[in-house]
Amino acid sequence: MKRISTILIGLSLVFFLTVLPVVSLPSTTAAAEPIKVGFLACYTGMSSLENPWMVNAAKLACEEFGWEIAGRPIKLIIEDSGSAPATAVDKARKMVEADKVHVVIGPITSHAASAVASYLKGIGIPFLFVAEGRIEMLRLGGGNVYLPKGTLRGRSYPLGYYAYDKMGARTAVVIHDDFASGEDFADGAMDAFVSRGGKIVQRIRAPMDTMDYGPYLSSMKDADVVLYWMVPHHNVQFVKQYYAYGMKMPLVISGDPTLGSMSMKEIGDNCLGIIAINAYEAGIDTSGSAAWRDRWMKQYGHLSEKEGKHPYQAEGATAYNSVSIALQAIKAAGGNTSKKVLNDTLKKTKFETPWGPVSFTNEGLIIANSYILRIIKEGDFYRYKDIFTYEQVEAREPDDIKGAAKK
Amino acid sequence: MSLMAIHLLNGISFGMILFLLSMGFSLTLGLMGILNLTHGAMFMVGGFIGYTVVGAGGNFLVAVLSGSIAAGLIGLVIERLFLRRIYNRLDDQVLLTLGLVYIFENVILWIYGGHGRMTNPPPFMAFTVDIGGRSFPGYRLGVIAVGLIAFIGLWWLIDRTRIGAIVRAGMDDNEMTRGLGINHELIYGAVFALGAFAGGFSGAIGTPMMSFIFSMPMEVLLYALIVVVVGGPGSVLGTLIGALVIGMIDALGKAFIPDLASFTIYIVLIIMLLFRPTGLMGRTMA
Repeated sequence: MKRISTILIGLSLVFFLTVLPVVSLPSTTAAAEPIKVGFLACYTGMSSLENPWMVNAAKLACEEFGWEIAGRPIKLIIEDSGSAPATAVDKARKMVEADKVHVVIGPITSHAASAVASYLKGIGIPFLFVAEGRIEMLRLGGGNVYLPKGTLRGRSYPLGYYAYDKMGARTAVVIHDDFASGEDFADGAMDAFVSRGGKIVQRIRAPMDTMDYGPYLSSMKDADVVLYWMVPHHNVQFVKQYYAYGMKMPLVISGDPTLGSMSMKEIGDNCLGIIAINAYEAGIDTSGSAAWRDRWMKQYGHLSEKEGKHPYQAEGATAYNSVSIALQAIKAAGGNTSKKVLNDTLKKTKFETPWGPVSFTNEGLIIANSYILRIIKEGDFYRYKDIFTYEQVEAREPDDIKGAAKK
Repeated sequence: MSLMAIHLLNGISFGMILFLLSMGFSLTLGLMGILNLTHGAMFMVGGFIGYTVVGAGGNFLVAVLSGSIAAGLIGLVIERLFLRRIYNRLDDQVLLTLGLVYIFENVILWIYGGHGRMTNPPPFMAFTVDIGGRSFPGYRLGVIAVGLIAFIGLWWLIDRTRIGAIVRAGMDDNEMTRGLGINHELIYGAVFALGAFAGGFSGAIGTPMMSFIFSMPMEVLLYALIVVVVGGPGSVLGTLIGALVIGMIDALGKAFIPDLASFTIYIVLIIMLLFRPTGLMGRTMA
């Protein structure tokens, strides 16, 4: 009797382990096949400081979908890009070939992102960048690259218009780090400013290893406004030296993360009144943005104690948006994660973000609101506040700046 | 005319920071024959400690002193623990000190994060001077004064005192000074600590003029290297002249030929290496 029982139990086990899975697995697997989102983070390297905000933002976006779309669980696969092209491509390859991801997002460093775009060109998996890129990045890809934050050149166009139309500036001095992003920023803002009839009286390219801006400031000509772009740690020095030299011309810049809340704190009250521009900024007072701020604070609170309790950074908003847009596209496609369907959906759908509607041109360039911002102080914190909106701007050509004043 | 005066003052004030920075590097290289690549890190450490003291509500002078002493002590530890074992082994010195630079950079990154830090000038120096209708920061005038005082003090110490004579003699004939009963190790340790102290001092003095970040040691070291090449290692006067030359060329280059500003000081470096490799007033080791 005991032997029969043993045989029966053994047969039952064999049945459960072999026959049942064969019968039931196809449908179960199809329903539960995870949606794999590859996120190239920057745990190490030059952008490692922005990383905590970005990773948390990516998780927050997934959280808001309940980690599931159309019955399929969302699997967020995070890899360290090292903020470097070679590492980023290696990790992207691992995501594509081993993890079989359906979409790749990140990293924040544009040179690494360009390399990833190039790698993904022949593969076709949608690739969403998380910062302002260069238009060349779209050309490197094969119709599968998206710039949810546009280009720095495109982003700065409305700033040139704003300086002329709303600030009443007719002459401008331009100063920027001699660096690709600085060139892009200056080109865009200058083109728009000049197209309105403004005059650029001086353009200064400061070498990246500049230790002292004093000579540039002393030789700066008089103008109605100064358009400038510096990498974050140069920003602190430039603005402090600017006021130490008794300069009074209004300063206009591209905005966070170039001049983020940590740099503002370092500069102090001298940064109040600086005019900037951005597409996504946690400090914007739209209802969506305020709700996002609340969700962020509830989830993560003040992330960095040692940096002075700054609650959120632009990198968080941007990374959140890129992940959220990708997930919205998958949802709009009914959970279909094929490359063609996803790319088509990304190009045809209007996505909702806390900072207004976002869509893409056929080449992958963003159409979104551009917010003109001013630095204000609230309690011990400095932050950007929106003061004007250019609505639904395609962030590249000056003719596309057709939005009317909202405020 | 007033604009030219401001450009000159820009050059002199930046040159004085370079002098304070390079003096320590010049001392250890010229008098001890040690290529100390951590010198830029001492500048950084002095600046960050000064920044911390000011941020905690401390007096600016206390901040400068704290930054200098901390850098001096760190220098002493480096010399006692590591460098004393590898005197006259230049390759090992380069490898060791380069490795230490990475450690210092990452410790600063860990403690302070990766954003630029910069203090405000002390209240008694936070004014601007009107020069022909243009403003010039009063703090920079203070830096010029401090630089001159430091120059006189160091020149007197190295060139006019018995201690300075022992140091110079030790470099020229090590065995002879030992034979005379001079505690050579003590002198080496003291000179190295003094060099690091000078590096920290320049960093702390420089915090209201430039932003400090973890990645700066090699950038500032390059400036120090150029100054020492121009002025000549081991010479206080040579270092001052070299620093002022580089400061002036940097400032005037930015003002009048900004597109070439990246290259101007390197052109001077190349000329010096080609035509006067010992520097304007350099000493050579025996």
